[in-house]
Amino acid sequence: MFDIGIGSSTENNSYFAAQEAIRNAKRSLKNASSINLGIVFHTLDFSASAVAKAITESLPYTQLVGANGPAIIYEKGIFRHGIVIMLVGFPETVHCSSAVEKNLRTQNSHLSGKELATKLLYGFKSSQRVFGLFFFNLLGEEKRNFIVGLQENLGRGFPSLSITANSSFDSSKTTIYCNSEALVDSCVGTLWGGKVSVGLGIGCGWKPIGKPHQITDASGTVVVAIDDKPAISLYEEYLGLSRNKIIENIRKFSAIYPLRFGYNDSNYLLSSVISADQNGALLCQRNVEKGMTVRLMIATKETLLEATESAIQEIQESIKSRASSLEKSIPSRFGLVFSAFNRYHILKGDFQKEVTLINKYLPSMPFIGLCTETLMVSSFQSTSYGQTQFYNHDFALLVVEG
Amino acid sequence: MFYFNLFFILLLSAIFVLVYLVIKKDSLIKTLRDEVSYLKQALDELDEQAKLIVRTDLELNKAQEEIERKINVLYSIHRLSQNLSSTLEEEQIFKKISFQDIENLGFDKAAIAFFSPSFSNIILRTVFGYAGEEIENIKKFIDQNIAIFTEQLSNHKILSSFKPDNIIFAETMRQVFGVKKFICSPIPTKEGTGGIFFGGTVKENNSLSEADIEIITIVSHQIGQAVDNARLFEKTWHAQQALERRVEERTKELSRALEQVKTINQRKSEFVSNVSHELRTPLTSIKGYASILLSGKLGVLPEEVSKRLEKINKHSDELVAFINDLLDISRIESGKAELRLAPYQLKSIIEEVVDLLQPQCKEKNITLKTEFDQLPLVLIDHSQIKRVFINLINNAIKYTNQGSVTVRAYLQESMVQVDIQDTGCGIPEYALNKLFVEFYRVDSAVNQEVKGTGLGLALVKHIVEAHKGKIWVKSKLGEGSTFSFTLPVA
Repeated sequence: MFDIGIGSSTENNSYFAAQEAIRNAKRSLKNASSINLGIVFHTLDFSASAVAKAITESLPYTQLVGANGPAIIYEKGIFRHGIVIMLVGFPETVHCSSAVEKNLRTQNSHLSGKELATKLLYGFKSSQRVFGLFFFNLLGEEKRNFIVGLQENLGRGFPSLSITANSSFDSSKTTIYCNSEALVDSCVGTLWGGKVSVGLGIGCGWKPIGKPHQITDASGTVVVAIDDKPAISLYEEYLGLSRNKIIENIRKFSAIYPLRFGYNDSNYLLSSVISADQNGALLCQRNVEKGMTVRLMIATKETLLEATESAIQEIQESIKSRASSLEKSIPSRFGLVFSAFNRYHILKGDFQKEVTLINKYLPSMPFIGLCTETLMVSSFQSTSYGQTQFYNHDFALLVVEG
Repeated sequence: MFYFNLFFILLLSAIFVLVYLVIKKDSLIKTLRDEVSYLKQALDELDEQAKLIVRTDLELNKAQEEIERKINVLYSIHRLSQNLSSTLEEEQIFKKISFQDIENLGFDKAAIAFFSPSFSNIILRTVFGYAGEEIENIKKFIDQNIAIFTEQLSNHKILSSFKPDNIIFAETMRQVFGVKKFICSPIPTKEGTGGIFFGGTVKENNSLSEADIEIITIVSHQIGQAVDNARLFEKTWHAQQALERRVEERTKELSRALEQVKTINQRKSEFVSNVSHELRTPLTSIKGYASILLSGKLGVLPEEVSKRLEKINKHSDELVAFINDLLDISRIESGKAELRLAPYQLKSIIEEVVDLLQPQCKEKNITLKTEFDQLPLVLIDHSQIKRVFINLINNAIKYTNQGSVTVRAYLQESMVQVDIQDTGCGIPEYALNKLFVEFYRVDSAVNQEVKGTGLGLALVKHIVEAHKGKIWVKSKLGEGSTFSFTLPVA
């Protein structure tokens, strides 16, 4: 059975807040002397060095991973200011190793991915590997190459979930943690194996609106023209606003009305727009190609919450079916929640309802989470074997059972 | 020929069929084209509707955002106001402001600073959204520009990025504080030095605007008011502590003085008692020998000698009475006098005394009256209370030349009150509160002729108070006096 302790704090002082959170987490553990893994999430206004200092002092020998983001999530809700820590004691049958790869900007991302996988496997016993969890602090498409490198050593069909702490909006403050080190430009990974199972539910909630359009000119992550008109005309026509107004607020508009790129309805990706230039070209979060279909996406509170509910119910069903087939005791579980901060622009005050839904369908399951920008999911579904899907407008719930 | 005709007919048929098929296909193509065109038109119309939906959605989002923001701001102000007024400690006030409150006001970052008493530097009371070196830089910046901020405070001026008086300074502020938009409002206080409330946002598209200046001013005033209340409370508390200390000191002084007075009083009583005892012994001898001589046992004395011996006897009696009074007062004061309390009918004592003094009244041609209804028994020492009546009625007769002396007795709550009213010369107002002091006699023409020791009323007061009663006097010069006292019901 997992021994889980969760502690949180909303103190203004980063160091004292981290200490308080660690203290509270230790207090709720059954055996505070046997902690195998710590996961820390905090908001962007906390000082990473102060948090790292508190971790060094209070959890000096504990394997720890984590990241910061625009908001943290735990049982009590979603908070724009705070720190939450989960301390986990594993049963003997569960194994977890962690490793870090630094200075990714100056290295070949493919080779860095391979190197990280090697490190993870080195610390890992000969137990069956089940899934990997990674925290990135890296821009752009380099992440995809990194994951390809990872998969080469871990296995092409190896399930993994990667979270990007990097924010296109405020990259100076994003941090990931490996043990008591606060890092930028790095990737921290954990590899899980043994008698552990994992389930992942993902829900989006955005729906396409309007007719499909075609990218008629593109370069890398830049959409230059749509339907032979400047790419920004898509937003001009649908929002009915001037070009300057759209350029000024493109991030906010594209967070609410992202674009869907793809070749058909089953193979697409959503993307926000990072910026737009005066010529009407749109800089997106991922590579696009000429000939791709592009559609504007729209969501309401109801559609987002329905998608969240659906994702959680999916996990709940898989847990129930596993529980009914078990002969012995019910396994213990914990959850990690990742909700795209773009959802906040629509949900606003109802953002807390995502936590309410988790508590409703999975009561008494301890969980913590972080608002993120991008999730990368590899091979969690049988239909996406070997493929890496990018999600940046989604709600994701990862449940680990042991 | 037959085969040629057959072939020709077949060919013609084929041609007819082909032409028919082509015409039909054309028609089908045309129909399909029309349908595609219709579908395209429908799709375009749907797309136009989709655009309307998106635009409406955008407007609704904007309106909802604005409403939510305003509600959050109002709610924040209300909650902040409640939190700020829940404490009277200045240090605690700033801990009552949370990051959530700051966010709800529309800021990502904020700082509250107060000036030192000498206005030489600033003290950062709380910050939100800043850490480590940023805080030091902000403090340094404010200290370096303290004159500008002091002027802002004294002129109740708002600094903001919306309408900056000094564009360069505003730009510097944006850089130092790391924000895109900001409002900086003075925090005015009535007690001590004030401060500044800085709020800023890093997002360009944040809806913070000039309209928020009024809201920030309200919040700043609330903080100022809370600080004022805290400072006033502290001042009042310190003043109260100082007053309590002074009261304690004075009480101690008065207690010491009281102890001294008690000691002096006790010594005085002991002195009087000792002297009185010492005087009584020779007086007894003087009186004794005078009596023996007057009795004629040692021979008949000449008339002149007898007259003088009688005077010696009389004056000795007066001296003994005076000394006895002194001793009684001394004994009562020191608590040595034992009162033999028993229930008595006051009416009988009054009648007894009235009978005794009636001859004096007849001599002066004044009326001595009594007025009382059914009276309950009183718990008294008979002999002592008789002395009180004798003393007071005697005084009334002494100081009344015409008219009457009335003795009234009645039940007043749980005490029996006795009023002795005369139509005499009255007592001047200045003497009323000294009448019961030992040896005091009113300086009047009557007292020049009428003898007295000044101990009678003092003794009466002691006796009444020893019975747990009270005594007082009302008088008007030329109209008469009323002496009243109370005795407990048995």
